[in-house]
Amino acid sequence: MSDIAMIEDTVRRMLADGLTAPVLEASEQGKWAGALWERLEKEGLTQPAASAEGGAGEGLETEAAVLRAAAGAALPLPLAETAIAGWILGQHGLDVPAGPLTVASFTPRETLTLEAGHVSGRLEGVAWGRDAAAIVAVAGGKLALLDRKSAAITHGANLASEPRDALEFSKAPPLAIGGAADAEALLCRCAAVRALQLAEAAGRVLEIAVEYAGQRKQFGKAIGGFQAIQHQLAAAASEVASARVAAQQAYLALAARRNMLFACAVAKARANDAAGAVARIGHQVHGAIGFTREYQLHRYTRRIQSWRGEYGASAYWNRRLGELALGAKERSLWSIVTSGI
Amino acid sequence: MMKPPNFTVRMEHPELERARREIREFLAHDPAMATPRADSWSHFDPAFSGRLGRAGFIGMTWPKRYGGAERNSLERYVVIEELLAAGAPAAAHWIADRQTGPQILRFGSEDQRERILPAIARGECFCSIGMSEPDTGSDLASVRTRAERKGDGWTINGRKIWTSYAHQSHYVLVLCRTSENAAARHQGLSQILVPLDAPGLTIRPIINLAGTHDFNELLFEDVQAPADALIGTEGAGWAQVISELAFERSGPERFLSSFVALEAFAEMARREPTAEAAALIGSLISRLAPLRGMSMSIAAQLGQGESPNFEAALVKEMGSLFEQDVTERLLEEVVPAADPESSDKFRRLLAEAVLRAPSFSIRGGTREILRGIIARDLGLR
Repeated sequence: MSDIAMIEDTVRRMLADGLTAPVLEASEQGKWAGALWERLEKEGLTQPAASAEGGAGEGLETEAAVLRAAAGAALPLPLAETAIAGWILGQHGLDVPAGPLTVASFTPRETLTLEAGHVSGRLEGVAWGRDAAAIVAVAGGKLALLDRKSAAITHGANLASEPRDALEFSKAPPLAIGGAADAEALLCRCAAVRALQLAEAAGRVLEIAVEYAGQRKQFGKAIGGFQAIQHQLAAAASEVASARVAAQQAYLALAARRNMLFACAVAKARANDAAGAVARIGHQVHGAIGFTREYQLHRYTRRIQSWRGEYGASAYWNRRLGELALGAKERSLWSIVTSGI
Repeated sequence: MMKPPNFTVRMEHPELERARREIREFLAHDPAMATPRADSWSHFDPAFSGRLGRAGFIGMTWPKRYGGAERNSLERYVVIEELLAAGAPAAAHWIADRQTGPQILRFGSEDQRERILPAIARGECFCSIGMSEPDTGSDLASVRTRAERKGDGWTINGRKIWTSYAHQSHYVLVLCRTSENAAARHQGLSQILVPLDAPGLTIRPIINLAGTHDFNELLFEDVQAPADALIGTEGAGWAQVISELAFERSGPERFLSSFVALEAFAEMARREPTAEAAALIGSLISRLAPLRGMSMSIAAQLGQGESPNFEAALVKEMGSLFEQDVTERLLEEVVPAADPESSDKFRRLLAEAVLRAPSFSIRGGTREILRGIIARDLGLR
């Protein structure tokens, strides 16, 4: 087993052990899974890219492995957000504070101002905003690390009961200010992570559905023996495979610092649509049991339906990709597909 | 628990960029490129294949002693995807380069390799696939064409159908039954390479819905083939056929058949960009880019002698849906009507792609067969 596969396996085991029914239920009620977070932090898994020994590329491989395991377990903690925040801070030469971190949504409408060293404005839909020690955002065109305690917080949640809060800053002193920040580049970075999470959640839905289809008997045989079921699951398997490859391509582009916008846009658009299709098929194969709170399928499908919209829905990224392709006047579409924008 | 497919995405090596530059340079100066074609690996142009072969782009991965160029499987991938993306008429050599040649290289005798492979690599020897029969479509193991050992050779009787370019090629690799006694129907099959001008072999045209003559029906009446026409081992035909499926199903021809129509659309849309055109193009290239990653991952595995049949089935399943959706989306959203006679490039290419699209999810294994294969690899069958 490669080092990367070993890391992924270790995290999977740790989460299988730590994500007990009471922990999951408490998380659904908005309770912070503190004991599990501390365990992840102690193992150095909350800053996976920083803990890798090699360069940025290896750090991202480690990050991807940890986040695959987390998404495959529907971990109700901001491991992904903390990883992204740490990575962005590192890229901007800023120190990474301890504890859970998060990132803004980086939508084009988001405009925090930076005046006389103080930050004002509103961030919407901040993942785990209430639980994070600090938030990475863009203020006045610069990278800003903001203190959660300096914000007025309005609670919100996504479909999977994960916190998505509004944070209002009024002349708040930032924890740190970095250099100029490109909000679209940050959006891409986050989109790549959500793409990976979507692909893994979809992969888990497929796994659960295949297992169920092999056990559930109707008309005297396992329903997986019916072509109608087999063909749907086969279609789901191809969706999962292409979403995973798209996420891999985005991480590769991030590691090489080449063609990032194209690869991240592709990854998020593909993973959004693939995961949506797999969630639909996963539920259809399960029948009524998949629609219950008791059965585990919803832990993945509710996340999928929320994540599809976060850091760019498919319509956004498809239009953006198309604009870039049409805007490159001297280029063929094929040269863009093969070498990027 | 199910075993997930193995796809590994890598950065492109510099030698791939070199291969890409070389083939683009070749195509930029080739006269056939005055008229790009949709589904261009179904456009038979022996002169083009000859030029391509002499330039070293056929049999690229084969040993030099058989006329190959000893380049790696990813360099070959790059070359064939460039041919398709440009709409180059690549049908004449396609099957020999992709399938028949590699089969001869892997299972053939030294004499067969020396005799046939250099001619294929020069772009002078073209091959057809002799698998389907009138009563044998998706259920390939039910073939009934028989080859009997008679004296020093084989006597073949039976029928083959959907044999593309048999009327323009040199050989057909016939899957036939050489033993009736086998308990299992997958046994007793063999592959025999038959020259298409052999006495007793009748080739009848079948015109496709686009109005072109690609397909044929082949009638074998006491066709004589010498003993050394057998490729590989007598009775091992099924295993040999299965071993080539990953080559047949994973390549870029499984998702790029209609790409030239999209390229022509982009060319048109660039002059007057709209949000709708951008969305259409984006929604398709975000599906195409991962398909390329999957197909290249398989090309690398094939180069290492692996048989990624599960992965190949996934590419063909996704790929044929994609290449059909290209024409669907263009028909849904674009005003200029498809017209095969049009002097407008987009309208002509759209027409060619639309008329060929029904075949995309049938040739090389139907969608239903592929989904069955995927289901088996998921552990459902």
